[in-house]
Amino acid sequence: MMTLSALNLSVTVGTRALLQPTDLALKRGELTTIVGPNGAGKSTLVRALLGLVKHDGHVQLDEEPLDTLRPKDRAKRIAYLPQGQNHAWPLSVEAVVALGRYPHGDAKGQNPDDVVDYVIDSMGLSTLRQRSVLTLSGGEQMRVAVARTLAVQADFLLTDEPLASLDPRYQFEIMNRLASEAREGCGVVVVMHDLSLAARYADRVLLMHRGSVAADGPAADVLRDDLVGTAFGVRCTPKEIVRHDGVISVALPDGIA
Amino acid sequence: MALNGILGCMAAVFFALSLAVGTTIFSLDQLSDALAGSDERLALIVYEIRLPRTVLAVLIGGSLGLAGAALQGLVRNPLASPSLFGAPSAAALGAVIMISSGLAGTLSFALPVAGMAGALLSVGVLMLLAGRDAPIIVLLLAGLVLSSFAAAGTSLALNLSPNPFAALEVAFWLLGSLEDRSFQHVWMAAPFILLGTVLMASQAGALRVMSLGEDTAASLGVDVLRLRFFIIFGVAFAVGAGVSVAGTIGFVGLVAPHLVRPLVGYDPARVLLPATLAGICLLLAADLLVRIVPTSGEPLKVGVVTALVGAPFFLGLVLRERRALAGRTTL
Repeated sequence: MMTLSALNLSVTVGTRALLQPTDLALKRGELTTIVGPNGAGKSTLVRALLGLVKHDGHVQLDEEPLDTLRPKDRAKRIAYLPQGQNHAWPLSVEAVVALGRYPHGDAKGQNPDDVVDYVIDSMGLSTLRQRSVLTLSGGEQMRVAVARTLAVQADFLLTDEPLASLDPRYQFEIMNRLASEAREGCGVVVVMHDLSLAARYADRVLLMHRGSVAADGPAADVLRDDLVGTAFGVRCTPKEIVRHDGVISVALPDGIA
Repeated sequence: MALNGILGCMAAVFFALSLAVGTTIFSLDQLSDALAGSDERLALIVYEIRLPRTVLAVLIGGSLGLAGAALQGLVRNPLASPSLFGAPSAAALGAVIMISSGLAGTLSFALPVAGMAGALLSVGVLMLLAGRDAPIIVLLLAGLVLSSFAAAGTSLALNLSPNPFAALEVAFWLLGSLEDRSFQHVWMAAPFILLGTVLMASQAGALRVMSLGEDTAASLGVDVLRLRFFIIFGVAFAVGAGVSVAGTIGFVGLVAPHLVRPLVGYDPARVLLPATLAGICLLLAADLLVRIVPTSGEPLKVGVVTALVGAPFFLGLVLRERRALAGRTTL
């Protein structure tokens, strides 16, 4: 099983530890959600896994240290969807999605246009493909961003709050798509704030608190009254969540503790 | 690609006009006689006076257009221009020191060498000031600091110039001109301009990915430090060499990419070649203008023309940006 693992991974800025030494192994075919209060270190963990921030410790992709891979080789295997969309120029939807093929250069033996066409169609963007990304709504922009990361065809897909500022329908759409990527063998990580969506979709939930992983496991084991209550400082009530594999009971925030 | 064809043809027309127009205007027959060498007097004028000037306009205009497009792609802002990182002003300072000290007159290569040294020194200091991982805003502010130092140094050199003639020479030189340049100037500047051009053009693909922001670009395999290094050094080589043989010629780097960007779908990679060609056309056209417009005293300098045209253009751009920002906040 292909894994993306962190060994003693930590991030310190000045004297402040943003991420305490963390050991972690993410598997292909698994959808992991990272939840936790603001400033808990969720984005820092993801960025450290990608090597985007200075860190101590190691990240390995199948026993291979990540920092020995050429940037483009790493990019082919781990795709990243950052928080917020940040377009400098009014490029077309098609041009932005095609940027996902950058690490592959002229992918040999495979027509990259086919991949771009496929993800554009499958994300329902066909009618928008010539539109400038700057004229799209927030939900449409996020679909473009997801399409761009899918075009990488990576083994791991790390997404940082892809659901922020989306309406419920778009949230389901994006999560359904990410879940189906995981079922097809991709290791998907979703940083998110909506705990009921996390409970519904996650194979595994990482609860982060004060720069470290406070709990790690199936949603029913992690989203418990004591753990969620302590991390977020909230009062919780039990809720039944219907998942594709059955019904689970989790504790969801209900008010300030 | 039709765009590049059209711009290429325009550049060729301006190139021919630049050979034909001067104190005397040649007809097509005269020009072909001159080029073929069948009329020695005309050939002398074309090959020794007009050709080097024209070739320099191509090299400098093209590299300014490319440098503007590359920098705008790097800092992800359409208002960026080569002068932002302080290289042109530092190059000017190096050259001014040579002129006012009289060395430029005695050593022919002193001027370009000092200009290049100024540009490279400023880039080196910029890298030191900004550190390894500095955000682009710190780079820009560091560039501003360097420009201020260079401007202060230039003022000092003018202030201390040994005689009024030296001061006048410096002042006119600073205005930017292609007049009376020889092939010696071309050979001195060309290698550095071409090196800078290669450095900048090699980063086309990475510039396109930078459209998504530094983090995303890095996650897609762009070596952001390498990209910065190549573009900033490329600009220093190209612009430093240009400034040291022709003085400061502003705004071409700002204007050229803008004229062509909408025509290539705003793609920061595809804009590089047309911006280069547009830069060539603009500088050739401006240099033609200074030969045609009659003045009572000193002929018009090409740097003055580009500034007169460029400044209102810059104002228009800023107003457009302001409207765009206002639109964004009300969304």
